[in-house]
Amino acid sequence: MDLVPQLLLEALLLGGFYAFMAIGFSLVWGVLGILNLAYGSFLIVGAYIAYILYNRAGVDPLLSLPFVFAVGFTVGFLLQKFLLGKLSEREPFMILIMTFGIDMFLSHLVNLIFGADIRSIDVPYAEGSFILGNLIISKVKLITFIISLFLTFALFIFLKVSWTGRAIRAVALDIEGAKLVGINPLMIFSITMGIGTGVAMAAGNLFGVLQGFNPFEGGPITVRAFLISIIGGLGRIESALVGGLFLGVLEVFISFNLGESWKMFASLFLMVVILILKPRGLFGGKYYG
Amino acid sequence: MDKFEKSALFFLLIIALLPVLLISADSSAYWIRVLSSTLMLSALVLAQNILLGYTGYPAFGAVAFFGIGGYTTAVMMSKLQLPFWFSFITSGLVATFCALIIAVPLMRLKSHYFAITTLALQLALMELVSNLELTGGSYGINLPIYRGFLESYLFFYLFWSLVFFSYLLNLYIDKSVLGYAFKAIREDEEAAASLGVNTLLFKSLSFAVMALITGSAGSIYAYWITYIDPPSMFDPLLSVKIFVALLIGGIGTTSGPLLGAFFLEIFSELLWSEFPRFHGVLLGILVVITVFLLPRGVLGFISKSPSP
Repeated sequence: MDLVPQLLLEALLLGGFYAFMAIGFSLVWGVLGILNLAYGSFLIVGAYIAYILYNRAGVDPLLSLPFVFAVGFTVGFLLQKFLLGKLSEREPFMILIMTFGIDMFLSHLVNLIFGADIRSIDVPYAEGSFILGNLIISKVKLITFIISLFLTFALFIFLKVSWTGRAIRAVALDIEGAKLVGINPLMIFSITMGIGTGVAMAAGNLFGVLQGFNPFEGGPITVRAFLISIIGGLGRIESALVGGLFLGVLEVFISFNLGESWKMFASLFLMVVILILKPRGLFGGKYYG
Repeated sequence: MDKFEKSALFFLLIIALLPVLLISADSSAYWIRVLSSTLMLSALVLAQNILLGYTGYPAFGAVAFFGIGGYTTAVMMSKLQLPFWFSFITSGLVATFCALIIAVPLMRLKSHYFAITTLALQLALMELVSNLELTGGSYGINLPIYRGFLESYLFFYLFWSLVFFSYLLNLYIDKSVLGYAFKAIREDEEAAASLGVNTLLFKSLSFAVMALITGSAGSIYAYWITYIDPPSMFDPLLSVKIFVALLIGGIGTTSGPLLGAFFLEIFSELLWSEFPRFHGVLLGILVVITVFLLPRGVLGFISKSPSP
């Protein structure tokens, strides 16, 4: 039996989720110039919040999405305003190390509270799968794929149409010019970090539905978000889709052909190669213009 | 030499005598172990100081070379049955050689791009050795256990010698023409190039020296703990500790790295025994506080020198 169509379908469904997952990382990178190594841990924190809400309060993980996003937004906003924003005069690598410190803090804190066991959010309606000709479509993957695409599109509209979204793009393009037309860049930085962290946590909520997670899953996720951002380039939301699909295809086919354990090596190796050859990304420009 | 440098040298000599003084104490084995790991961190921090402190390139993933050194030693000793001394020297050279090869493409990147690329390289190597049969996969490698002359002190003195060598190298770089070339690259690479400094040569040299010390430390470490696996040799926590120690001590100062490494290692040893469960959380907070409050380190703070 020919497995390629099935693998391509898996890659597509995974890639759609990856695209949404990485937008927060690439937005913060593109607008603030911060490589947020704590990104994956924020995502995992989002997964645990959704897990508690579902298991303790019975809140459906799809209904908890707005709440988890709001928590993430608040945390990111405050983080930028009171901590990272104060370091803007420093060398960028200092901020990189600080985000790594935040990553350690978050992952170990989650480990302290929940232990290292693998948890998962099992919703009854997302179990099972459809069969379409030769293809098997898992329900949970399809649901997260559709929600991811919807949220990605919503962010796209937000950045294109709303005043705040346009201000974010203006600051990314030309900070002096943005100041001249009355935009407060520090405020925009905090809002962007808020959106970035909110997206991370909301993606974590979906991630929890999609698969099992443990406190130390954050690192590999940050690597993926990084890779998606740099493959697509930091140009625009559309490029996250390109990057997400690319990584989806890469992971699915490497796992199938070489084995699951080579997946991470391939991602990291690709990351090094792209950084060395084209540090501004494979496609597209540098800014969210 | 200023007063800090004289006291640091004196301090190192005292440390060398400690095993003799501790020989009758009950917990001497414990303290020798703590001091050995402190000295190992000191060597790693001194190595990073040559690259980041003087040349301005933050190799966040320097532990990649630590792993290369450790795995070279482990493979040579347990698979090829070669003696330690030969493996040790080869490991340092292999790490240096790897550094020289990748320096040319890698060192076109700066600041956080350079940092994250080296980190990705470290993690990629970790994944690679967990998948290769030669390196024992994710199971790791057992090394022979050392028996013989100075049995419980050998590793202490090996680390000590590495620290002593690295410290003298830091002193030399701080004061020599070679150091001027490094510092010129750190301050303004283009200006340095326009004044006739061969920037590629000097920054590659700085990178290679860092890799030599780091790889040698990895080699000693592998033989010391006798069992290595990918997470222990390519540990991202170690990368963070190097940077935190360097930040605490003071980037680009000669004695700061020693101060930072001793402070951090003894501090986390005390924390570790008191609250083992909170170790990661506390270390994370320490990273955030250090970056936030001590951008120039304790020595930079005391001597109020202009920031590097």
